[in-house]
Amino acid sequence: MSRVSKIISLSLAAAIGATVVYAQATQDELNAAVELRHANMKERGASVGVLAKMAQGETPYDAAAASAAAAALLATVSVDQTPFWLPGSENGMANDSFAAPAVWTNAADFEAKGAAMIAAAEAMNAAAGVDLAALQAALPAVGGSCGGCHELYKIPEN
Amino acid sequence: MGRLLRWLVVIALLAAGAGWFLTRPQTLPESTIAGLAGDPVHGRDVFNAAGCASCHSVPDVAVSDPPILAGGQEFNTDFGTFVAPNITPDPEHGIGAWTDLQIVTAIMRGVDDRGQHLYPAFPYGTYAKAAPQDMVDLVAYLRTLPPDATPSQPQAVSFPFSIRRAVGGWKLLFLSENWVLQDAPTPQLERGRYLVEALGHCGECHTPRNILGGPERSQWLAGAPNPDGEGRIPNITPGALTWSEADIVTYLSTGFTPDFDSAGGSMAGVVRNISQLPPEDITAIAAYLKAVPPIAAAATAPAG
Repeated sequence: MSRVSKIISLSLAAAIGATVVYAQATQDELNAAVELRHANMKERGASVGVLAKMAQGETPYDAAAASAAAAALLATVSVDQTPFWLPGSENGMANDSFAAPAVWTNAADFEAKGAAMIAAAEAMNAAAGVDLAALQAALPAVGGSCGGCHELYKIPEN
Repeated sequence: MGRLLRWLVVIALLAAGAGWFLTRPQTLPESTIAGLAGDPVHGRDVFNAAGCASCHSVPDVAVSDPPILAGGQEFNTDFGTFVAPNITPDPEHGIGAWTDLQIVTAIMRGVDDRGQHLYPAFPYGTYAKAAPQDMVDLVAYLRTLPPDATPSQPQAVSFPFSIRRAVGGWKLLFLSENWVLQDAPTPQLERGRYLVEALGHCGECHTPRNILGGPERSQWLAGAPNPDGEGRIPNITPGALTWSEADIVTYLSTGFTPDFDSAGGSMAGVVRNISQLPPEDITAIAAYLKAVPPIAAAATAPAG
């Protein structure tokens, strides 16, 4: 076996090995991934809730609280999500999963949606502490990126 | 004996003739829209309330302003795959050459410009309750949108549903001008009923269907399998939906649920349309949803 073909064989073996390991996420691991992403989504919702209630006049505008919520949102959407989206954890394959298979089949677009969410959270982080008008102006992009991703990648819950 | 047989043949022929007559595509008379002038500005509200863009806009383009209604989205159902057609003003591939009455007839009676039945994936069964003035306004708005020369795709419907005449039978059974909520004692409830039952066609997804694909009116808005595939469309009667009217208004205006989850699937597009309506219309929808007969969550199939 030539040196080149040996390298190729070894790489192939490694790739196959990696695939096998990758595919071998246990049911518990898949369920845990769903729980991780649900916890993260709930944190996002809590921060968005603080901001949206101020935007809608349901609670009085408070620059410090708004800034804190926007910073928390930015942190929550920016965490490494690799452990959340284990292949094989779509709806029907893991407990309480509402993820559409398209999360994995349209991975590039799914990641672009995540990047859009981060961009909207960054803009909110810059705006929330300025004044109510700035917060209100930044909110539709945040809501739009939540909905933009859910439209394609989350199936109806009940 | 020969005489009896002859009578049977005559009766069978008469029955077939009656069936043929009853299932014929029925167009609207000119008087439906005679004297009505279309207002494209109000037509845009009708367009958003009726959710036309959700199905007729080109695939994978969630938002465009103005909307490009060139069709092409596919809907996989038990009856086959329906493909939304081009409804832009293009005279060849769209509906630019249709008369106002032909377009209104398609929307309210499911009959195209050639007098052929359209499949009820197009919710004319609910648009049948629309106000002719609204339809004329809608047509005026549609005529302002950009033309697009993308040809409409054929419907991929399996036998026996491929026999268009059978759609006439479906219409006899399910095209109804009767309200589900018969009692709407306030103008607000009347408006909400109109928006939900006629224009919004909410029941197309939120009401379960029978074996012929018609709505189970006794299970109005009680939830159903997701026509797009996995999951279930929720029960939104007061038997299951515990949100306040204000919660429903916020959801339809922003997409946010009371715990700040956000609308997903096809509902994201519905929110995009409804959120553009005048606020009093959104409030009327919420009031209506609180007034429909409650159907207990347990009465529907378990979550899938």
